[in-house]
Amino acid sequence: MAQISSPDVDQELEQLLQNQHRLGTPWRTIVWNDPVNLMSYVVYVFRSYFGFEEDTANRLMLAVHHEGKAIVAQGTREEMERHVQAMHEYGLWATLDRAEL
Amino acid sequence: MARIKTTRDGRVSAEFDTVERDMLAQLTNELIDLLTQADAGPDAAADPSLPRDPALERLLPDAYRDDAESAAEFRRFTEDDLVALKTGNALALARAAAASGAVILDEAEVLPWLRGITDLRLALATRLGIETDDDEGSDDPELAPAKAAYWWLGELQERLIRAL
Repeated sequence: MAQISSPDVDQELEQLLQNQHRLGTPWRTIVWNDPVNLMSYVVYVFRSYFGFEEDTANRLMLAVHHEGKAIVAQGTREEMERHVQAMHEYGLWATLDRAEL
Repeated sequence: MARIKTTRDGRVSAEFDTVERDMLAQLTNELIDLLTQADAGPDAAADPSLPRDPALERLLPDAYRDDAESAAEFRRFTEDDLVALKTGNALALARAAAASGAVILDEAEVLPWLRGITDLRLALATRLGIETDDDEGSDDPELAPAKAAYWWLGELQERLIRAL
């Protein structure tokens, strides 16, 4: 029976996994506080777009309001770009960045 | 104040008086004009050295905070669609302003209203210099109509959300 993995293959595999981990570093969608948008509207957006329960939507809205920002989603860069675009469609101020490891 | 009601079949009815209709028509016109400036040229969006109206900055913000290159790239691919969507929302409100009598909206039709009202408020807030949460905006008498419109739109949005 042939050996499935040689040290070289192990090393390659490890490298591959490391790369995947690096590539998979989650990106984040951040919603920033602004003085214009109404609290009720922000909750409405979080519920209707992200499908959050009222409690979650409220908690995130209050985080935006009191802390100046909240992370509302994490995932791939493409997904986060779609979320940011959607937030801009609603008139919310959102950006994406890469989460620190 | 506009009459916002939930109809028996669960839709939203909105009725404006003449003053409100005129105001809404004027504001939506201004917003559409402003959005037209975003299309000043194919390179206008990509060139950060070209100054843009601050209200436009707020309507079409950067998607990346500390990465100008990615922000410009994102803008190149998405801004036209965003401008078209926002223009469509403003047009929906302009049609309501032109209608006489109550306008009946289902939930899907309320969405462009809520978004359009948000954009109107964002543009007005820039003119009024509203920068912090407790800021009520400039006391300049010339801006009094803009200020009144800003608060009226906030109340309208609140009522629409409650009626959903």
